[in-house]
Amino acid sequence: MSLAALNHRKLTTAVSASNGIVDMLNAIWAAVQPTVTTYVDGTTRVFTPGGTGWTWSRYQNAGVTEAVYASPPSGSLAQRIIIAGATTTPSPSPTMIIDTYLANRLHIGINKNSGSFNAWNAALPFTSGQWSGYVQIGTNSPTAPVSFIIFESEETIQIGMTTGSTGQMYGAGAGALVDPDTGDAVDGESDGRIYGMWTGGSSVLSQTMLTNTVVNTFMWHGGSATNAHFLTFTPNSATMVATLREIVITSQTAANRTTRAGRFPASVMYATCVANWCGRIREFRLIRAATFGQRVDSAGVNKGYVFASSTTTPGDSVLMEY
Amino acid sequence: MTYLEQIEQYVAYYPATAFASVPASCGVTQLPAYPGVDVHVWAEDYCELADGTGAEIARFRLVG
Repeated sequence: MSLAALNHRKLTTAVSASNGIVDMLNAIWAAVQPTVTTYVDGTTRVFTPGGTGWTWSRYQNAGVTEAVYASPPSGSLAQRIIIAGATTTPSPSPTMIIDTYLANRLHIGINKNSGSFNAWNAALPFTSGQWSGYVQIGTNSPTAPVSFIIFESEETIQIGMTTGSTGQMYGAGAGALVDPDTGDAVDGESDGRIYGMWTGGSSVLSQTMLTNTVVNTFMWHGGSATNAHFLTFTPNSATMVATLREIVITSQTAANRTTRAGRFPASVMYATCVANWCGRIREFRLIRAATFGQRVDSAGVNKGYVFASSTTTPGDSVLMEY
Repeated sequence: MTYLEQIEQYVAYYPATAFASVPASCGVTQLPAYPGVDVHVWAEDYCELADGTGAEIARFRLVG
């Protein structure tokens, strides 16, 4: 039996004052802080169970932002997602996974069974539970202007980071991303979910991101630092395993993703782990070429938002269901 | 990648590494590509690299 469906909501785009790490973190904060009470479509951002509003907090060191972290509106495993970075390497150095820590770069990580916030660079940033380690998002001082387009659902967060004026994107996300969909208890955590995170790494997403592997790709895991990464927790464990989206077609076009009647089919997306089946990527669907952030309507009803490689040039696209 | 390959990848990135503390569960007790690095098995579930003075250089978790 499937988990409750996620509903993705889009926050207002936040433009960073510069391409520096502190300004980028402050831009993320501007987009997600609790005083933001509506989404771009005018709906209310509800922070209680049943809603999609995550409660974000900002950590500042002597007035300088070094991390923003989020608690979901619901869920039983006390997951926390954190985005962090600084102009220097703190001591102790942040605990990474696959990637190396680099000053002036954004990093993302996830913790389950969390306690209270400890320190973003602590071995356990949330005092207790199971910590993923950080992976990188984008590069140091990405080409300006930089802006952030963030989506929340009840149990996941997706982040698009534009760089430069041509619409290119970096991307990342985390949360209870996968539904095993099998009905077998051992395939998920005690709450039936699989938690994890992904990043496009230090490379921008490509218009062929759903064909590419290792770099310039989406929800794929490359084994070297700066590669794209997709890691999920082995259920009831602190171990994270390499995870790959299942490639179902190798080159989507607008034409072959449009029915003769003019409709846009939206195919379910699945993921595999290194040694096991993983499950269904929750409320993500392969759809025809589109641009990042685009809203897809059917007969005037919002069906979701597009995660793609560019805000200007259509390419491989995923629909995040509304 | 194996645990050994992951650890050696980090050591390659941090050439000042003289000591590597690694989780007992990973089964790594030496780094063949870096015989000068002293490997210490500890009870933590992450790895830590340190330089010749014992100063911590990097911490990382291993992909299972």
